[in-house]
Amino acid sequence: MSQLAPPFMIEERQSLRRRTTVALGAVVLLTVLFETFGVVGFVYRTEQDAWQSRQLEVAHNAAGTVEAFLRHVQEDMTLVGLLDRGYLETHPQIMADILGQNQALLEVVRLDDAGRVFASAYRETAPVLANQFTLAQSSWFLQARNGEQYTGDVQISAGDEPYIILSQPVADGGVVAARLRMDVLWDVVARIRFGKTGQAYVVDQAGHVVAHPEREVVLARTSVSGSAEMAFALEAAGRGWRGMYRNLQGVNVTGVTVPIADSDWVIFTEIPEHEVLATTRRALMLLGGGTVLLGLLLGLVSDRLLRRLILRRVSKLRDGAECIGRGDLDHRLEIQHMDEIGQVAAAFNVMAGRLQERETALAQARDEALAASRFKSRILANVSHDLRTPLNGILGYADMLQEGVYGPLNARQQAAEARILAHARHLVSLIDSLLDQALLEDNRLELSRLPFSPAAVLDEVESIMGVMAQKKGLALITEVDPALPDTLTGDSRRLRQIMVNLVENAVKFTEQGQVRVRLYPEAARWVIEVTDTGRGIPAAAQATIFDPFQQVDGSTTREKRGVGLGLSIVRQLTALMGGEIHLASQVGQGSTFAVALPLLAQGEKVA
Amino acid sequence: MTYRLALIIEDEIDLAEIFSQALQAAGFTTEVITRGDSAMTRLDEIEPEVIVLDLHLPGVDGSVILRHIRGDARLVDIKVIVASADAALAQSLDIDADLTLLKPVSFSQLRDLAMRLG
Repeated sequence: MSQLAPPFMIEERQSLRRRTTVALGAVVLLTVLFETFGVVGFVYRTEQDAWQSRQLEVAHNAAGTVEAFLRHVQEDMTLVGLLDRGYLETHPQIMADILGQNQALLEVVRLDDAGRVFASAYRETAPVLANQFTLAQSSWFLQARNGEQYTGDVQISAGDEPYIILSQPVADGGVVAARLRMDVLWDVVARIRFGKTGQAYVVDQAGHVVAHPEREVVLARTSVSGSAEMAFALEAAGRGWRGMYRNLQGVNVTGVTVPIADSDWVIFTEIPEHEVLATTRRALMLLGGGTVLLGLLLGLVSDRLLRRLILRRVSKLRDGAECIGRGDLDHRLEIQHMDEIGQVAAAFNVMAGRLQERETALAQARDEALAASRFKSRILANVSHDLRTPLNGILGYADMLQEGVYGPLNARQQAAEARILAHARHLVSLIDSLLDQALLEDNRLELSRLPFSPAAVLDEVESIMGVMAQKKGLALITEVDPALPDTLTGDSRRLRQIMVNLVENAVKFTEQGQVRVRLYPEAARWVIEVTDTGRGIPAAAQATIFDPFQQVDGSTTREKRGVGLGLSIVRQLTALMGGEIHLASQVGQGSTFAVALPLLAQGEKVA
Repeated sequence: MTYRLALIIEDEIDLAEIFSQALQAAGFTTEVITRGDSAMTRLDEIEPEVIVLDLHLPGVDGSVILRHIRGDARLVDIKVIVASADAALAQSLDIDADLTLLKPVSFSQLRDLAMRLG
């Protein structure tokens, strides 16, 4: 039974489990990614929209607040402008009243077209507007006298009070001007709050920050013009601009700019990006984390399912198939469910059944063939044995006749008697060969292991074969290497048979020259070497020459006597003795047969 | 001439004749017995100098006869030549024969051996 290769190893990379897990993981991951992007994108857009409308609303409200503040101041200035010079000069108290009613005003002045102050009121220790010698050249005067409103930059008074100068024309060609307390506006702006960290501030047309929740920004005369994005936001305020930029504090914000009516100011409302994206970020975290967890869970569950439903059963299937492969054809795979895997198992079972049937049939055929072969061998052995018994009788009587036991024979009778003996001996040797072959085939030939003298055996061979060689005019030379032990252990009869067969073969196929037999030790073996000067054996025939019933020319020629068993028996006896036979031959030059046998000293056993 | 008796225990008559002739040629008087049990009985009465013993015998086996001879002080000095066709069986004997010959045993071979038995 052929042994199957050890269980087929699977590279981790190629395992079904790994591949399905990777594929499934990829699908889950993609789904999760798309879903997350979709949901988060939706949340992001919704949040942005909400912030946009809210921020615009806040911006407009803030603009409205600043507008109202300015309008209040402007209304007071317009009122001052409406009062004529005479009335004002007669009622100087009215200016102080107006100032007293508007906390934002630091100073109000009324000037004629030449720039002379004729009515004024102020809140601080010293007037600023009314006290200027170069009043007629100041831009607030000149611009208002030319019929335009003027809004100045933020300045700081001697009393550390931030203010701006406003002026506007009066119908009589004069000018009304006021100093506006900025901290009031700043308070107004600082109170504009939205979201958690949203802020608003006011910037004039030149880009200077006029009002800011942080005073220092204004006091440092900070300008938004330094940032291209903010400069653009300022310019685009007329359209109600909204966009993202890095603000004055270096924070990324979403801003909205709205113009303040009746002024050249613009209000910026800003909300930091991290607040704008707070919901989106939370959604991303929740969704992302949730889906990753879900993906892991899904992966685990699918792995478990895959293992339980498929992999464990497939590996059982493999074990079972290997079991059958190893030759256990009685093994049947267990079928739990008749699904696809169950079908494979069933197909394996059917296959195992067929294999079993075939093996049974083969074993039966083999047993029959073996029985037939054994029967043949036994018949052959019995027949040979039965043939030999009467032959031994013939030999014995012929021998006795020749020895004169039954009276002297004349010359012709002697010759006939010799012929009878020769033919009978030949017949005995043929039958012996057949018997040996039959015993060898049937593994019934037993070897004895007794001490013997190799030289004596060789002497016997010489005496048996000498006559035959002599008749052909061949020299039979025997040699025993002095290094060979005098006594060896083995089956001397079978060793003699090996030598006789080899020498007989050599004599048969040699027409002239010599046959040499040499016995010599070689390492742990001893060698029987038979060399002839015969016709040689072609290379093609060398492979089959040891097969039973073969002779050199392939045809079982009757030209040479024998049934072609000699070399076959030699080879089989040699093998039985644990030795080897070698043949070296060249056509026309001769052949050398060398039988190498284990060298067993007396008493040693064959391993 | 001294009287020398050789007992041949062999069930094949032709072989017994050949052994008999060979031993006579070597100067023995021969007696042939073809059954093992008869041989055992006869050995109570005679003391041959040589016995040629076959191993396959009807009645009592040759190996039993050999053991009997070797176990009997009166018979223990008899020269026993075992003749068998079965080399393995001949070797497996627990008691040694004086000589073991593998069949076929030729006339001249046995005669020459018998002559040498002093």
